[in-house]
Amino acid sequence: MAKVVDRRKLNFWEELYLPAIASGMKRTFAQMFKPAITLQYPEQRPEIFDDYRGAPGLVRDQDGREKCVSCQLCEYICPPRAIVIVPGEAPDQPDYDYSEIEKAPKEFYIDMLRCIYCGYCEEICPEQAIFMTDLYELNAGSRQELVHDKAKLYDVGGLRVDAIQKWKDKNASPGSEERKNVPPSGNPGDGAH
Amino acid sequence: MIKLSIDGREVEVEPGTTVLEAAATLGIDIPHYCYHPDIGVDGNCRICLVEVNGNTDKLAIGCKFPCGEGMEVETESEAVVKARKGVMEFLLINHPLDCTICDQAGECPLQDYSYHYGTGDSRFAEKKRNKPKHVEFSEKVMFDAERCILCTRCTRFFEEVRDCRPIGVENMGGKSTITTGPNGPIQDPYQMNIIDICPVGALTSRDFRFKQRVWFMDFADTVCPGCSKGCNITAGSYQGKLLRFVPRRNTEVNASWMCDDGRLSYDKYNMPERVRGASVSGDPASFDAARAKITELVGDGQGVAVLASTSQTSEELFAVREWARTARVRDLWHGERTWESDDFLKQADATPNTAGAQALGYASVPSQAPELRGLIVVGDVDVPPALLANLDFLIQQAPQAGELGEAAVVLLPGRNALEKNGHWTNGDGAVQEVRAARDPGPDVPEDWTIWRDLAGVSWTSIAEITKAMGAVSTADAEAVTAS
Repeated sequence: MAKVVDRRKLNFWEELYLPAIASGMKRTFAQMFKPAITLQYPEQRPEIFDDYRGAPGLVRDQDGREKCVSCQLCEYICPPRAIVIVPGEAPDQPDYDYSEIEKAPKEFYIDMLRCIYCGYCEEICPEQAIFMTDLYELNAGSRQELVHDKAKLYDVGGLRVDAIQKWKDKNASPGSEERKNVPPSGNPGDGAH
Repeated sequence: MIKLSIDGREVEVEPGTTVLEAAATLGIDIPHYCYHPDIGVDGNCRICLVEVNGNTDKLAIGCKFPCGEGMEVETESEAVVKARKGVMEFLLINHPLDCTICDQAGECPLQDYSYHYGTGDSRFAEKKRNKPKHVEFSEKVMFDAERCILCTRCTRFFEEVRDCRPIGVENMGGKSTITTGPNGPIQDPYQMNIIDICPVGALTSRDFRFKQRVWFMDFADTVCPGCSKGCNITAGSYQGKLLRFVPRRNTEVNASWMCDDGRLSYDKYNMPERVRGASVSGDPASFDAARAKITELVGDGQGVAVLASTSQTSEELFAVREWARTARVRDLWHGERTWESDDFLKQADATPNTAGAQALGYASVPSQAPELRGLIVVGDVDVPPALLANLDFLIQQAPQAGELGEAAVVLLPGRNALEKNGHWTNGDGAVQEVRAARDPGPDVPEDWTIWRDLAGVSWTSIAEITKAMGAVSTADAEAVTAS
């Protein structure tokens, strides 16, 4: 059954509506003299805080080397399963002091349509290779473009100089030459001692 | 029989049984690295320490200490846990923190036990020792000396199981390392077993290396389809793609081993290109149309023979036989495929179910094949060219069509050896369960359903066929072929 609502009868001034309009106008004009809180985006940009979580990106170390060793912990922890890694053997780069690292991602995909910007990937990474960046503008003409591949992720992440440069120390440590000079096959003991 | 108590639980064992084995019968897992049930005791890792009769001054190693009458064993007492923590600390002093890139991670006893007995941090302030990190032991095996805990399971495998010494321990003390001998890379055709028995990530498969973390993979306990030995395996796959075979322990068949050829054969079962859906005379057709065509072609069954692969499970072969009975097709033959056998596990018969096929009444192709009007080829089988001469029609039901596919009037899809469920009978007569390790995708029904529908039987599951097969004796099978 329909409910009958008792409405209060309006008095004379209320029926005129003019006082109500006047009070609305007062508020409107008062706003004009207050400072604006909206931004003229895209000409004006918001201030990004240090712990802002934008699009995740892969970083290179101070020498431009790939830090990710494709341990796939981020793939494991990622709540929306946005990350897919194709692991592989690190490319042989003799001019790099790189022989310590055996594993590197062949491909690395983050589906930005699935990403929820939780930052777990950054938190769990044992190599400090993935970071949440400042990038908040993600637009594309197709869904496929928003699946960031390895090249795009390095583009987003860029270069990062860390306080701890572990390969630098390790390569200078005693015995590192021995490790590098292991013959590719045959008797490993020959050159080692 | 000897009576003793382990953790307060009574157990009776044969004389000569070790404490570790006796504990295993109670379901108590005593940690161990160097002990392996199929290569015997060495006693060098010291993680399996147990307390016997309250003696906390000198703990015994569970893997070698024999059970005695009235003995009281404690496997998790305060002294034992303290000693194991000490052993773990020593092992972890020089073990690199490689877990993030180590293929063993996720199935590594060192990782597991360090959760139980590890301290979480290290008191070791000195530099870890440095050793060679990627040494190619052969084209199949990669060695990482830093990860090695020198349990010598690998060298003892070659000495005790394979009777050869391609690798050994070199140097002394902290510099000890496993190394290949003067004859260079390991040649043994069973060498990849050392990868499985290595309790850490020191020995890794160069084939499986870095392909996928094990916790992302799916595993199916099945049987290797490579030969009539029927080694028990665990097939690992990722998103439907097979990545590796690993032997599964079965003391009656293969112990803990399998041959490298069988192990590396996984990729051919991935089959990116295969028969999907039915086709008649090269054009896609519905299964109903294919069935009608088969019935029309076979007619009264005169001059028609079935040639089935011995990679089919017994259930599938039984379903084919059931159809043959209704269609009055008399000749049931099985294919043959051989490879080079050896003195250990590899058998000359390179198919897994020849014994099962023979038990169901399938015979070898006769040397003087009778004049044939039509041939029905079931599964992945090599057809003798003599059979193909003067054929009116060829019907093929197989995962891959091969060269025969063009000649086949009716082509039906099939599942390969890693996609089946059922049973195989190995060369020694052991009937072993086979489980599908991967899904072939759309339009590839299970083989038995195709023949069930053709025969007009009402089975609804493999289990029902297995039951029906038990009810029909071998004598009936002989009657089918003789009639």
